[in-house]
Amino acid sequence: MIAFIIRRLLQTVIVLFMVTLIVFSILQVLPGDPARTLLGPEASPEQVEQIRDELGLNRPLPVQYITWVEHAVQGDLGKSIAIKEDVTGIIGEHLPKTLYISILSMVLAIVIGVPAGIIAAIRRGGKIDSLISVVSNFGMAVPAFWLAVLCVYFFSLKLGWFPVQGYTSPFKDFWLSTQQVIMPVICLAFAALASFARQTRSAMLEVIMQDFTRTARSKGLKEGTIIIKHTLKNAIIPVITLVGLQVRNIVGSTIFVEQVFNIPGMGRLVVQSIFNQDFVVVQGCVLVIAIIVAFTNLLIDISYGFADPRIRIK
Amino acid sequence: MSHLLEVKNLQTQFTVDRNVVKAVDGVSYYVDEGEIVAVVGESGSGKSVTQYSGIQLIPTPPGKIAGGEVLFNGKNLLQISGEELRQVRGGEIGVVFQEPMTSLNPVLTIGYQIIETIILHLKMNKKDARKHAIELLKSVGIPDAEERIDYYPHQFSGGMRQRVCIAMAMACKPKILIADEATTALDVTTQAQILEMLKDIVKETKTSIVLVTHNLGIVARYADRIYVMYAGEIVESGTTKEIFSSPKHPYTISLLNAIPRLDDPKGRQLIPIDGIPPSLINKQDICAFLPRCPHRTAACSFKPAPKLETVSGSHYSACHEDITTEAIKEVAAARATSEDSSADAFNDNQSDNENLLEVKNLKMYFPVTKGILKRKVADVKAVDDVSFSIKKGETLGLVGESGCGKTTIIRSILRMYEPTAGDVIFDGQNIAKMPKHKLRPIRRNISLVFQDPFSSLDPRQTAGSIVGEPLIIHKLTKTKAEYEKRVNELFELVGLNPEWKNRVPHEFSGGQRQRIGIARALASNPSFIVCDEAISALDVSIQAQIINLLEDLQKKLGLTYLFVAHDLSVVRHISDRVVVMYLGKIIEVADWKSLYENPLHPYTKGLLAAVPIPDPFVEENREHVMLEGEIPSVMNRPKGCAFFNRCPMATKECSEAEPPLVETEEGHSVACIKVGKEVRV
Repeated sequence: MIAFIIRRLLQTVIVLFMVTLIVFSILQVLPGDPARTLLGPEASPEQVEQIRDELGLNRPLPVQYITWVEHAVQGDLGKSIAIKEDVTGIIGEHLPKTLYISILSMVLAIVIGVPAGIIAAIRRGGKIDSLISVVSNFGMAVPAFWLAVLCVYFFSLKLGWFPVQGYTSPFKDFWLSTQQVIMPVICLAFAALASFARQTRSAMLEVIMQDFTRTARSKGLKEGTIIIKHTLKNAIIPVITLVGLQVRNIVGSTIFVEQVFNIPGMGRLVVQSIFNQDFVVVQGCVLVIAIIVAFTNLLIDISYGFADPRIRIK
Repeated sequence: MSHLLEVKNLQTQFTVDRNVVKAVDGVSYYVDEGEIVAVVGESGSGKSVTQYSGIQLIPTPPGKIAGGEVLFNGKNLLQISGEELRQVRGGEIGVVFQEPMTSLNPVLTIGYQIIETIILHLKMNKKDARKHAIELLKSVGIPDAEERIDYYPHQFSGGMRQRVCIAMAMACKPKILIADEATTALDVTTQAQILEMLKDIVKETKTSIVLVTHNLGIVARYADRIYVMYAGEIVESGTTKEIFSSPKHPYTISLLNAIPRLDDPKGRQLIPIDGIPPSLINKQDICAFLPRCPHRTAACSFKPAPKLETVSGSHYSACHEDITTEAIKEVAAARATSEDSSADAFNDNQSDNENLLEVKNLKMYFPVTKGILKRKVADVKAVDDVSFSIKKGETLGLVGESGCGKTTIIRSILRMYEPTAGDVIFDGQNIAKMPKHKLRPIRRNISLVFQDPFSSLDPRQTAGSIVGEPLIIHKLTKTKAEYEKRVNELFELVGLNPEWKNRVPHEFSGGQRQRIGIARALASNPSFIVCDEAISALDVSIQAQIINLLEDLQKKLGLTYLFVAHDLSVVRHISDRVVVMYLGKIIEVADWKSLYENPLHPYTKGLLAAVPIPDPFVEENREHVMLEGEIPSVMNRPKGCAFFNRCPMATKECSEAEPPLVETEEGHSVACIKVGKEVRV
């Protein structure tokens, strides 16, 4: 198991190295000169050239890359071109907001999606099963941003239940924060929730068909015990895989959802920075998001070992 | 007199695509305390469903118990509440299932799974339950039970898992233990160990055992009474001796004629049961065995399905005709001669033929990797220095228990693996190291018939294109018409109707699919066919058809077979010479006669002793020498003789050096220092 974890860690390091390479090269091929952006259209070519020198843009690419990685490892992601602040500081300000709504969404998706899948599997072919199927198909088909717009229209504008937009830290004003956060969290969670319900349902159904479920039944165990102790423990393994995929989806969807609800998180930061051609910030954001996704997947792989003794004990 | 379990007129149905399948159709039987009752039948005969109906383990829907009574200790199990039923399940009736590999929950320790049952039914606290579980594990022969109780199922071998399953089923001292094909998936020596253990359990605890199986040998050796099932009905019942000495129902008679026995005269023609078991959809009220019955009369087709009637004492049979011993012999004789492959035709004439295949010092090692960098730390010697040869027109049987390297040998010969070392000389050419493009034209001379007729055919390809594919690959036919002609020819050769060319595999029965597999193997007109457990997935009544087909084809086309199997009776029937393997090495080679009549290696002796003979009278007088233990993992092969730790003859010197394979008599070689000496003195 330890060898497995170490090997997996090494793989993660390699993944991160590739991510830095890709992030770095994408920005090289994007149109627009950061120095020109910084100075505005009035500046003379000499001035631009001078700034390029200062920013290190005239050095060979490998040197630029190594310098960037060196600084990044030390926590210095450079200075924003547009706002002239430390990128690390900017991200530090935006990231917690995104993390807060993302984690809430993930928890909501699991807490509702998994039990819904279990119930659907137990009541296979029944009315509850059909209802859950319809809702989860809907959830997987509807894009998060459209759902967000609909939510705003009905619950905020028509019914006035929730504020239209904005974000307040839960430590500052918990009640207001919660009201503001409910709709974005639901919009983010919906697709993931649907996937969880479907995956859990099919995994449960497969495990219920297995010989060992019949063995459990032949021992005279109650249905409830069989579901919880025997079936669920096996069915949860593919669901764990799904958590990894959904982390990526939720993080990706924050870009739209934060835009609609005007939440100053990472998603909005990325969008704004792209419009501002603020490549240093974009670089930093993509790197941070990639690291988060890579590490959650690492955690998920390790958690297989805990869920499945066949991986843990060879 | 009231019985422990009495089933009356049980009817269980399944609804499949709006059709009603009468899986169990009016079955009545009983089980008394402390007896072993066997329910015999082929797959689909309803034998398992009958057992599961009583404790309601059949999935509903699509299943439904449509009628009847299951009286257990006077209570009708079909009418009691769910709570009461759960107490019977596991508490009073335990079940051991067929597949030990999938019947235990992989994510829970075996201890948890046993203790759970004990706490539920015996109301013990956790500590006592654990103690009880350890005792149970010890009683079923799990070594180091104190430690291994916390192991997960995947840490045990198949045989050990089945022991765990038995411990679990026996945990609450049930009155009845249902063993549903409980030893079918196990190796023959393990099977014998498990069955002996079950027999001891009956003696000690007075638990009754219901042995559900298709293996008539097991039945003859262990059962007190037998119920023979066919198409959801019991067609014959009686004591074991009654059934085997004077079988009355044509199905039972045919079944006994169709299976090869370890004590058969060589060259005995197996008499297959024609046709296939009937579909149980919309069953008519007519004798279900009628279309396959060799004793049928015109009157049978007009009478309703026959009911069980007394033959004598406790012997019942459901047949309109009173079939006498003479009639049986007549029919058998007529059929045997009509198929014309008499014993004397059996080939003794190819002893001076040249070798078609010669395997010399073949080694196939697989690397074992360890640690973060997957460094190679050792080799798994799956096949270690194996040499043998096959003469033209001969059938060489290759036997051994799972894990002995049979499959690896085949794959190395066919170059599905790249052999680590050694030569494979086929028809004068060494193909072991031949480059792939040179090997390709030779491949058409070697074919393979696979074990599982269900997964070895592409479900989306038509039967015709499956059979014809080798013709296209090897460019053997020039025109479309020639291709079609050859495919038709192949279909006829294996006894299939060429009109079925456009059907897909699932429209065929298991036996027919295996025929398609054989036709595919024959397509390129090969001289050598490797049969990898080619009949072991088939039903007993179908096995004989395929064995006969293989034998006929050999005679017609002069084929050479390498017949790999674990069923020693079948290998004896079909082989000219036999190779016995143990842990990657050959331990004995001989012609079939000397091997079966005068086995030298203690392992061969143990294997043969473990095979039950379908005859209770023979079994009664047979000494049951049990091989102890299990085949060790190839990873930690014992020093010296690999069989050392299980061998009844072993002494210290056996563990010192690996015994070489020495020829003790002409054509009979054995790898055992004890035996070699004895013979030479």
